[in-house]
Amino acid sequence: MDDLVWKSLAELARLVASKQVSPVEVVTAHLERIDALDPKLRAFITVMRESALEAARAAEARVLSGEPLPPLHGVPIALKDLYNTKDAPTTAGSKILAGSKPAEDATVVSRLRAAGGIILGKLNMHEFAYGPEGLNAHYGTAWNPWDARSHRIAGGSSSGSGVAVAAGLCPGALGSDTGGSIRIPASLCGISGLKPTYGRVSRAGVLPLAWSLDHVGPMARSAADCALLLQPMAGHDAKDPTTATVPVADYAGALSGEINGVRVGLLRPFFLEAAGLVLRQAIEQAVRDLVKLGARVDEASLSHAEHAHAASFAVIASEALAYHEVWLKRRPGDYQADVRERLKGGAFVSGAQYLRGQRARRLIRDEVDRTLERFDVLIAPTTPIVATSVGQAEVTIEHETVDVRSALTRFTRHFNLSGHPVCSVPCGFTTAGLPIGMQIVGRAFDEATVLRVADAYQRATDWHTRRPPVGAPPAAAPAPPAPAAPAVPAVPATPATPTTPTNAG
Amino acid sequence: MLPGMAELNPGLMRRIAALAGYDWTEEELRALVPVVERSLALLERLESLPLRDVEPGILFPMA
Repeated sequence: MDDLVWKSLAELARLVASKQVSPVEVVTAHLERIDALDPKLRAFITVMRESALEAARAAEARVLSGEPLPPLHGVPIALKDLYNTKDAPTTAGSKILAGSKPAEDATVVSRLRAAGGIILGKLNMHEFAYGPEGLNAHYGTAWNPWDARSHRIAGGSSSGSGVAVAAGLCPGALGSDTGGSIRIPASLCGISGLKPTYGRVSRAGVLPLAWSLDHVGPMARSAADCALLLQPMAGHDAKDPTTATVPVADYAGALSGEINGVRVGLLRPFFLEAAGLVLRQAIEQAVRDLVKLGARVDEASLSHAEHAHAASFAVIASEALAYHEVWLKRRPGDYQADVRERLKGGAFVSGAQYLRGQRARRLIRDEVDRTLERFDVLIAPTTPIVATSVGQAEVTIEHETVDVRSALTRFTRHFNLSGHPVCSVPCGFTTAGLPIGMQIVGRAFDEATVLRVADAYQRATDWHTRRPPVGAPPAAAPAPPAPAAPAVPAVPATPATPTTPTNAG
Repeated sequence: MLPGMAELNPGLMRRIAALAGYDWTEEELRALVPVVERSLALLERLESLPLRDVEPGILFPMA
Protein backbone atom coordinates (compact mmCIF):
# COMPACT_ATOMS: atom_id res chain seq x y z
CA MET A 1 0.00 0.00 0.00
CA ASP A 2 2.82 2.40 0.87
CA ASP A 3 4.17 2.05 -2.63
CA LEU A 4 0.93 3.38 -4.10
CA VAL A 5 1.40 6.81 -2.55
CA TRP A 6 4.56 7.39 -4.58
CA LYS A 7 3.08 6.44 -7.92
CA SER A 8 2.58 9.16 -10.48
CA LEU A 9 -0.91 10.25 -11.45
CA ALA A 10 -0.37 8.70 -14.86
CA GLU A 11 0.72 5.40 -13.37
CA LEU A 12 -2.18 5.31 -10.90
CA ALA A 13 -4.65 5.97 -13.70
CA ARG A 14 -3.06 3.17 -15.75
CA LEU A 15 -3.11 0.71 -12.82
CA VAL A 16 -6.76 1.48 -12.13
CA ALA A 17 -7.80 1.22 -15.76
CA SER A 18 -6.01 -2.11 -16.15
CA LYS A 19 -7.67 -3.44 -12.98
CA GLN A 20 -4.33 -4.01 -11.29
CA VAL A 21 -5.36 -1.85 -8.40
CA SER A 22 -8.72 -0.67 -7.11
CA PRO A 23 -9.52 3.02 -6.62
CA VAL A 24 -10.52 2.03 -3.08
CA GLU A 25 -7.00 0.76 -2.43
CA VAL A 26 -5.50 3.94 -3.87
CA VAL A 27 -7.69 6.24 -1.82
CA THR A 28 -7.25 4.14 1.34
CA ALA A 29 -3.46 4.19 0.99
CA HIS A 30 -3.47 7.98 0.80
CA LEU A 31 -5.93 8.35 3.69
CA GLU A 32 -3.74 6.11 5.85
CA ARG A 33 -0.71 8.21 5.05
CA ILE A 34 -2.63 11.38 5.84
CA ASP A 35 -3.67 9.87 9.19
CA ALA A 36 -0.06 8.97 9.96
CA LEU A 37 1.68 12.17 8.88
CA ASP A 38 -0.72 15.06 8.72
CA PRO A 39 -1.03 15.68 12.46
CA LYS A 40 2.51 17.00 12.13
CA LEU A 41 2.56 18.27 8.54
CA ARG A 42 -0.81 20.09 8.67
CA ALA A 43 -1.25 19.97 4.94
CA PHE A 44 -5.01 19.42 5.14
CA ILE A 45 -7.70 21.64 6.59
CA THR A 46 -10.46 19.15 5.73
CA VAL A 47 -9.97 15.48 4.89
CA MET A 48 -12.97 14.34 2.85
CA ARG A 49 -12.67 10.74 4.02
CA GLU A 50 -16.27 9.54 3.55
CA SER A 51 -16.96 11.23 0.23
CA ALA A 52 -13.57 10.12 -1.14
CA LEU A 53 -14.21 6.50 -0.18
CA GLU A 54 -17.71 6.68 -1.59
CA ALA A 55 -16.36 8.07 -4.86
CA ALA A 56 -13.68 5.38 -4.87
CA ARG A 57 -16.27 2.62 -4.48
CA ALA A 58 -18.29 4.10 -7.32
CA ALA A 59 -15.13 4.32 -9.42
CA GLU A 60 -14.34 0.69 -8.66
CA ALA A 61 -17.83 -0.35 -9.77
CA ARG A 62 -17.38 1.55 -13.03
CA VAL A 63 -14.08 -0.21 -13.69
CA LEU A 64 -15.70 -3.58 -13.10
CA SER A 65 -18.62 -2.67 -15.38
CA GLY A 66 -16.29 -2.38 -18.34
CA GLU A 67 -17.50 1.12 -19.25
CA PRO A 68 -15.02 3.49 -20.91
CA LEU A 69 -13.02 5.35 -18.28
CA PRO A 70 -12.05 9.03 -18.22
CA PRO A 71 -8.32 9.89 -18.03
CA LEU A 72 -8.04 10.44 -14.27
CA HIS A 73 -10.42 7.68 -13.27
CA GLY A 74 -9.96 6.68 -9.65
CA VAL A 75 -7.02 9.01 -9.05
CA PRO A 76 -7.09 11.05 -5.82
CA ILE A 77 -6.33 14.75 -5.87
CA ALA A 78 -6.63 17.50 -3.28
CA LEU A 79 -7.59 21.15 -3.50
CA LYS A 80 -6.25 24.31 -1.96
CA ASP A 81 -9.04 25.34 0.37
CA LEU A 82 -10.21 28.21 -1.78
CA TYR A 83 -11.81 26.04 -4.46
CA ASN A 84 -15.53 25.80 -3.83
CA THR A 85 -16.74 22.27 -3.24
CA LYS A 86 -20.39 21.34 -2.82
CA ASP A 87 -19.57 18.53 -0.39
CA ALA A 88 -17.05 20.17 1.96
CA PRO A 89 -16.48 23.58 3.54
CA THR A 90 -14.31 26.14 1.75
CA THR A 91 -12.49 28.23 4.34
CA ALA A 92 -9.70 29.97 2.39
CA GLY A 93 -7.68 29.13 5.48
CA SER A 94 -9.67 31.67 7.45
CA LYS A 95 -11.77 31.87 10.58
CA ILE A 96 -14.15 34.16 8.74
CA LEU A 97 -15.20 31.42 6.32
CA ALA A 98 -14.91 28.48 8.72
CA GLY A 99 -17.79 26.13 8.02
CA SER A 100 -18.76 27.98 4.84
CA LYS A 101 -20.46 25.50 2.50
CA PRO A 102 -20.66 26.57 -1.14
CA ALA A 103 -23.68 25.52 -3.14
CA GLU A 104 -21.69 24.23 -6.06
CA ASP A 105 -18.26 23.14 -7.19
CA ALA A 106 -15.80 25.50 -8.82
CA THR A 107 -15.72 24.91 -12.57
CA VAL A 108 -12.32 23.19 -12.44
CA VAL A 109 -13.46 20.93 -9.61
CA SER A 110 -16.46 19.84 -11.68
CA ARG A 111 -14.17 19.24 -14.63
CA LEU A 112 -11.69 17.20 -12.61
CA ARG A 113 -14.48 15.11 -11.11
CA ALA A 114 -15.85 14.51 -14.61
CA ALA A 115 -12.36 13.41 -15.64
CA GLY A 116 -12.47 10.77 -12.93
CA GLY A 117 -10.58 12.54 -10.17
CA ILE A 118 -11.49 11.79 -6.56
CA ILE A 119 -11.27 14.72 -4.17
CA LEU A 120 -9.34 13.70 -1.05
CA GLY A 121 -9.69 16.96 0.82
CA LYS A 122 -9.05 20.66 1.16
CA LEU A 123 -5.53 21.91 1.71
CA ASN A 124 -3.95 24.42 4.04
CA MET A 125 -2.87 27.83 2.79
CA HIS A 126 -1.81 31.28 3.87
CA GLU A 127 -5.02 32.89 5.09
CA PHE A 128 -7.02 34.13 2.07
CA ALA A 129 -3.93 33.44 -0.08
CA TYR A 130 -2.42 36.72 1.10
CA GLY A 131 1.14 35.68 1.96
CA PRO A 132 4.06 33.86 0.34
CA GLU A 133 5.24 31.92 3.40
CA GLY A 134 2.17 29.72 3.90
CA LEU A 135 1.54 30.87 7.48
CA ASN A 136 -1.78 30.06 9.06
CA ALA A 137 -2.77 31.09 12.57
CA HIS A 138 -6.13 29.33 12.49
CA TYR A 139 -5.30 25.83 11.25
CA GLY A 140 -1.59 25.72 12.02
CA THR A 141 1.23 26.46 9.62
CA ALA A 142 2.05 23.61 7.24
CA TRP A 143 5.40 21.95 7.88
CA ASN A 144 7.92 21.70 5.04
CA PRO A 145 8.57 17.94 4.78
CA TRP A 146 12.18 18.41 3.68
CA ASP A 147 13.22 19.24 7.24
CA ALA A 148 11.68 16.73 9.60
CA ARG A 149 13.35 18.22 12.65
CA SER A 150 12.71 21.95 12.52
CA HIS A 151 9.63 23.81 11.35
CA ARG A 152 10.37 25.46 8.04
CA ILE A 153 7.89 27.23 5.80
CA ALA A 154 6.43 25.33 2.89
CA GLY A 155 6.04 28.52 0.88
CA GLY A 156 2.70 29.99 0.04
CA SER A 157 0.18 30.67 -0.36
CA SER A 158 -0.57 27.12 -1.57
CA SER A 159 1.42 25.64 1.31
CA GLY A 160 -0.75 22.58 1.93
CA SER A 161 -0.68 21.72 -1.78
CA GLY A 162 3.12 21.78 -1.78
CA VAL A 163 3.42 19.72 1.39
CA ALA A 164 0.74 17.16 0.52
CA VAL A 165 2.22 16.38 -2.89
CA ALA A 166 5.83 16.35 -1.66
CA ALA A 167 5.05 14.10 1.30
CA GLY A 168 3.00 11.57 -0.66
CA LEU A 169 -0.34 12.53 0.90
CA CYS A 170 -1.78 13.00 -2.58
CA PRO A 171 -0.28 12.58 -6.05
CA GLY A 172 -1.57 15.88 -7.36
CA ALA A 173 -3.21 19.04 -6.10
CA LEU A 174 -4.52 22.38 -7.23
CA GLY A 175 -3.07 25.67 -6.11
CA SER A 176 -3.63 29.29 -7.03
CA ASP A 177 -1.04 31.90 -7.94
CA THR A 178 -1.39 35.69 -7.69
CA GLY A 179 2.25 36.59 -7.07
CA GLY A 180 3.86 33.14 -7.06
CA SER A 181 1.62 31.03 -4.84
CA ILE A 182 1.86 27.86 -6.93
CA ARG A 183 5.50 28.22 -7.88
CA ILE A 184 6.89 29.25 -4.49
CA PRO A 185 5.60 26.20 -2.57
CA ALA A 186 6.47 24.01 -5.55
CA SER A 187 10.04 25.30 -5.32
CA LEU A 188 10.35 25.11 -1.53
CA CYS A 189 8.74 21.66 -1.38
CA GLY A 190 10.64 20.12 -4.33
CA ILE A 191 7.69 19.48 -6.63
CA SER A 192 6.44 20.75 -9.98
CA GLY A 193 3.81 23.46 -10.29
CA LEU A 194 2.27 25.14 -13.30
CA LYS A 195 0.84 28.64 -13.42
CA PRO A 196 -1.01 28.59 -16.73
CA THR A 197 -1.56 31.62 -18.95
CA TYR A 198 -4.07 34.11 -17.52
CA GLY A 199 -7.35 33.07 -19.13
CA ARG A 200 -6.36 29.46 -19.82
CA VAL A 201 -8.13 28.02 -16.75
CA SER A 202 -11.39 29.18 -15.23
CA ARG A 203 -11.34 30.98 -11.89
CA ALA A 204 -15.10 30.57 -11.44
CA GLY A 205 -15.80 29.30 -7.95
CA VAL A 206 -12.26 29.96 -6.76
CA LEU A 207 -12.11 32.56 -3.99
CA PRO A 208 -10.12 35.57 -5.20
CA LEU A 209 -7.14 37.41 -3.82
CA ALA A 210 -6.82 39.85 -6.75
CA TRP A 211 -9.07 39.10 -9.72
CA SER A 212 -6.80 40.52 -12.40
CA LEU A 213 -3.75 38.59 -11.22
CA ASP A 214 -5.20 35.31 -9.91
CA HIS A 215 -4.26 32.17 -11.81
CA VAL A 216 -5.26 28.61 -10.90
CA GLY A 217 -3.20 25.57 -11.79
CA PRO A 218 -1.91 22.11 -10.98
CA MET A 219 0.86 20.94 -8.67
CA ALA A 220 2.32 17.43 -8.87
CA ARG A 221 5.60 15.55 -8.56
CA SER A 222 6.36 15.87 -12.26
CA ALA A 223 5.64 18.16 -15.17
CA ALA A 224 4.03 15.18 -16.93
CA ASP A 225 1.50 14.88 -14.12
CA CYS A 226 0.87 18.63 -14.26
CA ALA A 227 0.07 18.16 -17.95
CA LEU A 228 -2.35 15.39 -17.12
CA LEU A 229 -4.16 17.57 -14.58
CA LEU A 230 -4.17 20.67 -16.78
CA GLN A 231 -5.89 18.91 -19.66
CA PRO A 232 -9.41 18.74 -18.22
CA MET A 233 -9.00 22.06 -16.39
CA ALA A 234 -8.12 24.14 -19.44
CA GLY A 235 -10.55 25.88 -21.75
CA HIS A 236 -13.20 28.53 -21.96
CA ASP A 237 -15.82 28.80 -19.24
CA ALA A 238 -18.85 31.04 -19.61
CA LYS A 239 -18.80 31.55 -15.84
CA ASP A 240 -15.39 33.24 -16.05
CA PRO A 241 -15.37 36.02 -18.67
CA THR A 242 -11.58 36.23 -18.55
CA THR A 243 -11.18 32.73 -19.95
CA ALA A 244 -10.02 32.59 -23.54
CA THR A 245 -11.45 30.70 -26.48
CA VAL A 246 -7.95 29.82 -27.68
CA PRO A 247 -7.93 26.08 -28.55
CA VAL A 248 -6.59 23.76 -25.86
CA ALA A 249 -3.52 21.77 -26.87
CA ASP A 250 -2.90 18.08 -26.18
CA TYR A 251 -0.55 18.60 -23.27
CA ALA A 252 0.42 14.99 -22.62
CA GLY A 253 0.85 14.49 -26.34
CA ALA A 254 3.29 17.40 -26.45
CA LEU A 255 5.69 15.65 -24.07
CA SER A 256 7.99 14.21 -26.70
CA GLY A 257 11.14 14.40 -24.62
CA GLU A 258 12.64 16.24 -27.58
CA ILE A 259 13.94 19.80 -27.14
CA ASN A 260 16.68 19.81 -29.74
CA GLY A 261 16.97 23.35 -31.12
CA VAL A 262 14.65 24.89 -28.54
CA ARG A 263 15.76 28.46 -27.84
CA VAL A 264 16.17 29.11 -24.13
CA GLY A 265 16.71 32.59 -22.67
CA LEU A 266 18.48 32.62 -19.33
CA LEU A 267 17.25 35.59 -17.29
CA ARG A 268 20.41 36.69 -15.55
CA PRO A 269 19.99 40.40 -14.61
CA PHE A 270 17.59 40.88 -11.70
CA PHE A 271 16.78 37.14 -11.59
CA LEU A 272 19.75 34.73 -11.58
CA GLU A 273 22.22 37.30 -10.32
CA ALA A 274 20.07 38.00 -7.24
CA ALA A 275 19.80 34.38 -6.11
CA GLY A 276 21.97 32.74 -3.47
CA LEU A 277 25.14 31.02 -4.62
CA VAL A 278 23.93 27.43 -4.42
CA LEU A 279 20.73 28.35 -6.22
CA ARG A 280 22.70 30.07 -8.98
CA GLN A 281 24.89 27.01 -9.32
CA ALA A 282 21.84 24.77 -9.56
CA ILE A 283 20.33 26.89 -12.34
CA GLU A 284 23.64 27.02 -14.21
CA GLN A 285 23.88 23.24 -14.01
CA ALA A 286 20.31 23.02 -15.31
CA VAL A 287 21.35 25.21 -18.24
CA ARG A 288 24.17 22.78 -19.01
CA ASP A 289 21.69 19.91 -18.80
CA LEU A 290 19.38 21.66 -21.26
CA VAL A 291 22.28 22.30 -23.63
CA LYS A 292 23.13 18.59 -23.51
CA LEU A 293 19.56 17.92 -24.58
CA GLY A 294 20.06 20.12 -27.62
CA ALA A 295 18.63 23.42 -26.37
CA ARG A 296 20.26 26.65 -27.57
CA VAL A 297 20.76 28.85 -24.55
CA ASP A 298 21.50 32.54 -24.62
CA GLU A 299 21.25 35.37 -22.12
CA ALA A 300 18.01 37.33 -21.79
CA SER A 301 16.84 40.25 -19.70
CA LEU A 302 13.64 42.04 -18.75
CA SER A 303 14.31 45.72 -18.19
CA HIS A 304 11.02 46.35 -16.35
CA ALA A 305 11.66 43.63 -13.77
CA GLU A 306 12.54 46.15 -11.09
CA HIS A 307 9.08 47.70 -11.41
CA ALA A 308 7.19 44.47 -10.94
CA HIS A 309 7.18 44.73 -7.15
CA ALA A 310 5.51 48.14 -7.15
CA ALA A 311 3.03 47.28 -9.90
CA SER A 312 2.10 44.02 -8.24
CA PHE A 313 1.69 45.72 -4.87
CA ALA A 314 -0.55 48.44 -6.29
CA VAL A 315 -2.84 45.91 -7.93
CA ILE A 316 -3.00 43.28 -5.18
CA ALA A 317 -3.37 45.73 -2.29
CA SER A 318 -6.27 47.48 -4.03
CA GLU A 319 -8.11 44.45 -5.34
CA ALA A 320 -7.67 42.45 -2.13
CA LEU A 321 -9.02 45.30 -0.03
CA ALA A 322 -11.99 45.67 -2.36
CA TYR A 323 -12.87 42.00 -1.81
CA HIS A 324 -12.32 42.10 1.96
CA GLU A 325 -13.70 45.55 2.70
CA VAL A 326 -16.85 44.49 4.52
CA TRP A 327 -15.17 41.81 6.62
CA LEU A 328 -12.29 44.13 7.45
CA LYS A 329 -14.78 46.65 8.82
CA ARG A 330 -16.98 44.17 10.65
CA ARG A 331 -14.64 41.38 11.72
CA PRO A 332 -11.09 42.75 11.75
CA GLY A 333 -10.12 40.64 14.76
CA ASP A 334 -10.89 37.45 12.87
CA TYR A 335 -7.97 37.92 10.45
CA GLN A 336 -4.49 36.72 11.33
CA ALA A 337 -2.24 39.67 12.10
CA ASP A 338 -0.08 39.80 8.98
CA VAL A 339 -3.04 39.53 6.61
CA ARG A 340 -5.02 42.17 8.49
CA GLU A 341 -2.09 44.54 8.31
CA ARG A 342 -1.63 43.96 4.58
CA LEU A 343 -5.30 44.57 3.93
CA LYS A 344 -5.24 47.80 5.92
CA GLY A 345 -2.31 49.02 3.85
CA GLY A 346 -4.52 48.81 0.77
CA ALA A 347 -6.65 51.66 2.10
CA PHE A 348 -3.78 54.05 1.39
CA VAL A 349 -3.32 53.10 -2.26
CA SER A 350 -5.14 55.59 -4.47
CA GLY A 351 -7.12 54.82 -7.58
CA ALA A 352 -4.48 56.55 -9.67
CA GLN A 353 -1.76 54.40 -8.12
CA TYR A 354 -3.76 51.26 -8.80
CA LEU A 355 -4.13 52.21 -12.44
CA ARG A 356 -0.48 53.14 -12.66
CA GLY A 357 0.22 49.54 -11.62
CA GLN A 358 -2.15 48.27 -14.30
CA ARG A 359 -0.53 50.50 -16.91
CA ALA A 360 2.93 49.33 -15.88
CA ARG A 361 1.62 45.85 -16.30
CA ARG A 362 1.02 46.43 -19.98
CA LEU A 363 4.67 47.45 -20.47
CA ILE A 364 5.75 44.37 -18.57
CA ARG A 365 3.58 42.05 -20.65
CA ASP A 366 4.66 43.60 -23.94
CA GLU A 367 8.31 43.23 -23.01
CA VAL A 368 7.92 39.54 -22.13
CA ASP A 369 6.08 39.02 -25.44
CA ARG A 370 8.90 40.73 -27.35
CA THR A 371 11.55 38.72 -25.53
CA LEU A 372 9.73 35.50 -26.36
CA GLU A 373 9.93 36.36 -30.04
CA ARG A 374 13.64 35.53 -29.75
CA PHE A 375 13.23 32.58 -27.40
CA ASP A 376 10.85 29.64 -27.02
CA VAL A 377 11.15 29.73 -23.24
CA LEU A 378 12.87 31.78 -20.57
CA ILE A 379 14.37 30.30 -17.43
CA ALA A 380 15.05 31.80 -14.02
CA PRO A 381 15.25 30.65 -10.43
CA THR A 382 11.81 30.37 -8.83
CA THR A 383 12.99 31.94 -5.58
CA PRO A 384 16.28 33.53 -4.49
CA ILE A 385 16.20 31.54 -1.22
CA VAL A 386 15.25 28.11 0.01
CA ALA A 387 12.78 27.36 2.81
CA THR A 388 13.40 29.45 5.91
CA SER A 389 12.30 28.78 9.48
CA VAL A 390 8.75 29.64 10.44
CA GLY A 391 8.81 33.06 12.10
CA GLN A 392 12.06 34.09 10.43
CA ALA A 393 11.54 37.60 9.03
CA GLU A 394 14.88 38.19 7.32
CA VAL A 395 17.45 36.17 5.43
CA THR A 396 20.94 36.93 4.18
CA ILE A 397 21.67 36.30 0.51
CA GLU A 398 25.40 36.50 0.05
CA HIS A 399 26.07 39.72 1.99
CA GLU A 400 22.68 41.35 1.73
CA THR A 401 19.96 41.00 4.33
CA VAL A 402 16.48 40.98 2.84
CA ASP A 403 13.03 40.32 4.19
CA VAL A 404 11.78 36.83 3.52
CA ARG A 405 8.36 37.88 2.23
CA SER A 406 9.50 40.10 -0.57
CA ALA A 407 12.40 37.78 -1.43
CA LEU A 408 10.02 34.89 -1.98
CA THR A 409 8.01 36.72 -4.66
CA ARG A 410 10.91 38.60 -6.25
CA PHE A 411 11.21 36.30 -9.31
CA THR A 412 7.63 35.10 -9.63
CA ARG A 413 5.33 38.15 -9.57
CA HIS A 414 6.65 39.42 -12.91
CA PHE A 415 4.77 36.63 -14.70
CA ASN A 416 1.53 37.20 -12.86
CA LEU A 417 1.66 40.73 -14.18
CA SER A 418 2.54 39.54 -17.68
CA GLY A 419 0.14 36.58 -17.56
CA HIS A 420 2.56 34.17 -19.27
CA PRO A 421 2.60 30.46 -18.40
CA VAL A 422 5.33 29.26 -16.05
CA CYS A 423 6.26 25.85 -14.71
CA SER A 424 8.48 25.52 -11.65
CA VAL A 425 10.49 22.31 -11.46
CA PRO A 426 13.03 21.10 -8.90
CA CYS A 427 16.60 21.57 -10.13
CA GLY A 428 18.76 20.79 -7.10
CA PHE A 429 19.12 20.69 -3.35
CA THR A 430 21.25 22.52 -0.83
CA THR A 431 23.67 20.54 1.31
CA ALA A 432 21.04 20.76 4.07
CA GLY A 433 18.67 18.89 1.78
CA LEU A 434 16.36 21.75 0.89
CA PRO A 435 14.94 21.90 -2.65
CA ILE A 436 15.71 24.54 -5.28
CA GLY A 437 13.27 25.42 -8.06
CA MET A 438 13.62 26.68 -11.62
CA GLN A 439 10.98 28.59 -13.59
CA ILE A 440 10.36 27.83 -17.25
CA VAL A 441 8.36 30.65 -18.84
CA GLY A 442 6.60 30.33 -22.18
CA ARG A 443 4.57 32.32 -24.67
CA ALA A 444 0.97 33.09 -23.87
CA PHE A 445 -1.18 29.95 -24.22
CA ASP A 446 1.88 27.84 -25.06
CA GLU A 447 1.76 25.67 -21.96
CA ALA A 448 2.59 22.76 -24.25
CA THR A 449 6.13 24.02 -24.92
CA VAL A 450 6.68 24.94 -21.26
CA LEU A 451 5.63 21.43 -20.20
CA ARG A 452 7.64 19.81 -22.99
CA VAL A 453 10.83 21.53 -21.84
CA ALA A 454 10.08 20.78 -18.18
CA ASP A 455 9.35 17.15 -18.94
CA ALA A 456 12.45 16.72 -21.10
CA TYR A 457 14.52 18.18 -18.27
CA GLN A 458 12.93 15.78 -15.80
CA ARG A 459 13.56 12.79 -18.08
CA ALA A 460 17.25 13.72 -17.95
CA THR A 461 17.50 14.51 -14.23
CA ASP A 462 16.22 12.93 -11.03
CA TRP A 463 15.64 15.89 -8.70
CA HIS A 464 11.88 15.44 -8.94
CA THR A 465 12.09 11.80 -7.86
CA ARG A 466 13.65 12.49 -4.46
CA ARG A 467 11.48 11.94 -1.42
CA PRO A 468 11.49 14.03 1.75
CA PRO A 469 12.53 12.54 5.09
CA VAL A 470 9.04 12.11 6.47
CA GLY A 471 7.23 8.86 7.05
CA ALA A 472 10.36 7.11 8.26
CA PRO A 473 10.30 5.57 11.77
CA PRO A 474 10.48 8.36 14.37
CA ALA A 475 13.83 9.12 15.96
CA ALA A 476 14.29 7.94 19.56
CA ALA A 477 15.24 11.38 20.80
CA PRO A 478 14.79 14.91 19.47
CA ALA A 479 17.56 15.81 17.08
CA PRO A 480 19.33 19.16 17.06
CA PRO A 481 18.07 21.78 14.59
CA ALA A 482 19.22 21.35 11.04
CA PRO A 483 21.96 23.71 9.90
CA ALA A 484 20.98 26.58 7.67
CA ALA A 485 21.58 26.16 3.97
CA PRO A 486 25.01 27.50 3.05
CA ALA A 487 23.73 29.44 0.07
CA VAL A 488 21.35 31.46 2.19
CA PRO A 489 22.71 31.58 5.71
CA ALA A 490 19.77 32.25 7.95
CA VAL A 491 19.87 35.07 10.43
CA PRO A 492 18.49 34.24 13.87
CA ALA A 493 14.75 33.80 13.81
CA THR A 494 12.89 36.98 14.57
CA PRO A 495 9.20 37.64 14.97
CA ALA A 496 7.41 38.44 11.74
CA THR A 497 7.39 42.20 11.56
CA PRO A 498 6.15 44.65 8.98
CA THR A 499 8.79 44.91 6.29
CA THR A 500 8.68 45.63 2.61
CA PRO A 501 5.15 45.74 1.15
CA THR A 502 4.34 42.24 0.09
CA ASN A 503 2.60 41.11 -3.06
CA ALA A 504 2.19 37.62 -1.66
CA GLY A 505 -0.45 35.42 -3.10
CA MET B 1 7.58 61.75 -0.99
CA LEU B 2 6.30 63.59 -4.02
CA PRO B 3 6.42 67.42 -4.09
CA GLY B 4 3.42 68.91 -2.36
CA MET B 5 2.60 65.71 -0.54
CA ALA B 6 1.74 66.11 3.16
CA GLU B 7 3.90 64.31 5.69
CA LEU B 8 2.39 61.04 6.76
CA ASN B 9 1.20 60.92 10.36
CA PRO B 10 -1.54 59.13 12.30
CA GLY B 11 -3.82 62.17 12.10
CA LEU B 12 -3.68 62.34 8.31
CA MET B 13 -4.03 58.59 8.05
CA ARG B 14 -7.05 58.68 10.35
CA ARG B 15 -8.75 61.12 7.96
CA ILE B 16 -7.92 58.99 4.92
CA ALA B 17 -9.09 55.82 6.67
CA ALA B 18 -12.27 57.51 7.90
CA LEU B 19 -13.12 58.62 4.35
CA ALA B 20 -12.94 54.95 3.38
CA GLY B 21 -15.13 54.01 6.32
CA TYR B 22 -12.51 52.61 8.70
CA ASP B 23 -12.44 53.56 12.34
CA TRP B 24 -8.96 52.53 13.37
CA THR B 25 -7.48 53.33 16.77
CA GLU B 26 -4.50 55.60 17.35
CA GLU B 27 -2.41 52.54 18.12
CA GLU B 28 -3.46 50.78 14.92
CA LEU B 29 -2.69 53.89 12.88
CA ARG B 30 0.71 54.37 14.50
CA ALA B 31 1.59 50.79 13.62
CA LEU B 32 0.55 51.43 10.03
CA VAL B 33 2.68 54.55 9.52
CA PRO B 34 5.92 52.73 8.63
CA VAL B 35 4.01 50.24 6.51
CA VAL B 36 2.31 52.96 4.51
CA GLU B 37 5.54 54.97 4.23
CA ARG B 38 7.26 51.98 2.67
CA SER B 39 4.28 51.34 0.39
CA LEU B 40 4.26 54.92 -0.88
CA ALA B 41 8.00 54.82 -1.46
CA LEU B 42 7.56 51.64 -3.44
CA LEU B 43 4.69 53.05 -5.49
CA GLU B 44 6.73 56.14 -6.26
CA ARG B 45 9.04 53.96 -8.36
CA LEU B 46 6.27 53.64 -10.93
CA GLU B 47 6.53 57.40 -11.53
CA SER B 48 9.67 56.81 -13.56
CA LEU B 49 7.97 54.59 -16.12
CA PRO B 50 6.98 56.04 -19.53
CA LEU B 51 3.24 55.52 -19.11
CA ARG B 52 1.83 58.60 -20.87
CA ASP B 53 0.40 56.66 -23.84
CA VAL B 54 -0.12 53.36 -22.09
CA GLU B 55 -3.62 52.15 -21.35
CA PRO B 56 -4.15 50.03 -18.24
CA GLY B 57 -3.92 46.27 -18.49
CA ILE B 58 -7.58 45.94 -17.61
CA LEU B 59 -10.23 46.73 -20.18
CA PHE B 60 -13.88 45.86 -20.48
CA PRO B 61 -14.50 43.60 -23.46
CA MET B 62 -18.12 43.49 -24.58
CA ALA B 63 -17.73 40.19 -26.39
